[in-house]
Amino acid sequence: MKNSVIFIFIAFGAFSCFSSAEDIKLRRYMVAGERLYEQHCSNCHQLDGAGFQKLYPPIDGEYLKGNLSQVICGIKYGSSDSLTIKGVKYVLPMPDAHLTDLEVAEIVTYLSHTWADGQGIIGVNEVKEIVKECGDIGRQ
Amino acid sequence: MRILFWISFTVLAFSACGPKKEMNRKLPFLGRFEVVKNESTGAVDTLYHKIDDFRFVNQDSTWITAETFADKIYVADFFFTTCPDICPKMKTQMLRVYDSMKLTDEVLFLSHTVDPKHDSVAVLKDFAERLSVESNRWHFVTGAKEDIYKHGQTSYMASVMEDGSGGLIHSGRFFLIDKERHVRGAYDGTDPASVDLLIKDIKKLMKTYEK
Repeated sequence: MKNSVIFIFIAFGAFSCFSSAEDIKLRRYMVAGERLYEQHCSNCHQLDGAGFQKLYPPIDGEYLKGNLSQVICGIKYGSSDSLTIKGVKYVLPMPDAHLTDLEVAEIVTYLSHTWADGQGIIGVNEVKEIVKECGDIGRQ
Repeated sequence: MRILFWISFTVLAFSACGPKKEMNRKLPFLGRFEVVKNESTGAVDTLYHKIDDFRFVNQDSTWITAETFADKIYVADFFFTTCPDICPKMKTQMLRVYDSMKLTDEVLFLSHTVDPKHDSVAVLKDFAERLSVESNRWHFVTGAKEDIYKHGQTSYMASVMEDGSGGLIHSGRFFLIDKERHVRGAYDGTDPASVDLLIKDIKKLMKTYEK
């Protein structure tokens, strides 16, 4: 009896090893991304991503997919550019939250999985490449 | 075992006091007050702190003065439109109070910008429209910076100042003002529980004016 219980434990342990390193990394990104979103984004965009009236835009999956570089640059450096989502033009500036490239990657990964049909990780190296090209336009 | 009984009994007894005490809590008068004796009648009177006269301009370019709030209860705060940290939270909460007072014209709202350089009448107008609130119930006002800061500090006892490096510091509080211009409560505008209490207190204050 005792042996079979131990066997089940070992079997479970082995089974959980099957989830790939990539999966574990994704989960790590998601947990960190959610925490960072709550801390830096939810004041304006709200916890559920619905935004607030016509002052702060909702997190929009379509916009995110079509404008990933702008979103990444905006989160990294802040932005004073206006943006239009579902016909509403939003004009208030987004502040520079002084986030590292990794933190930006975690947030964007979290956004893409929560509000768009996110596939995999938007990794720190990808963010690093995009951030290099941000330029000064729109910087706060 | 017996001790355990008494502990739970005491806890229960005290917890029962909580809500009741809350119900009966009378609204305080905040700020300094003076006790004056009427020499001819000998009667003693308490003069409570009052909101000073003021004159600011709102999102419709209309002068807003203490007269605007004659015979009205109002909720006041300090903010600026581009403030990234506490203001969004304050505005979500203030909108909640505003929405809960939709059915009465007895309660008004007054938001003072602490950044008049950026927050012009046009900017405030756009802000109010984006918030989807009516100008005659919620006034967003601007004026000379010194006047706004002084009014905040002396009338509302609010911390409103510049931080010395170009930033702005302002109180996150909502102030409840009665029809006699007395400050009857100060609430944490970023905390939903404190704002719930404000909504209750407004209703309580309205009751005191019922004839």
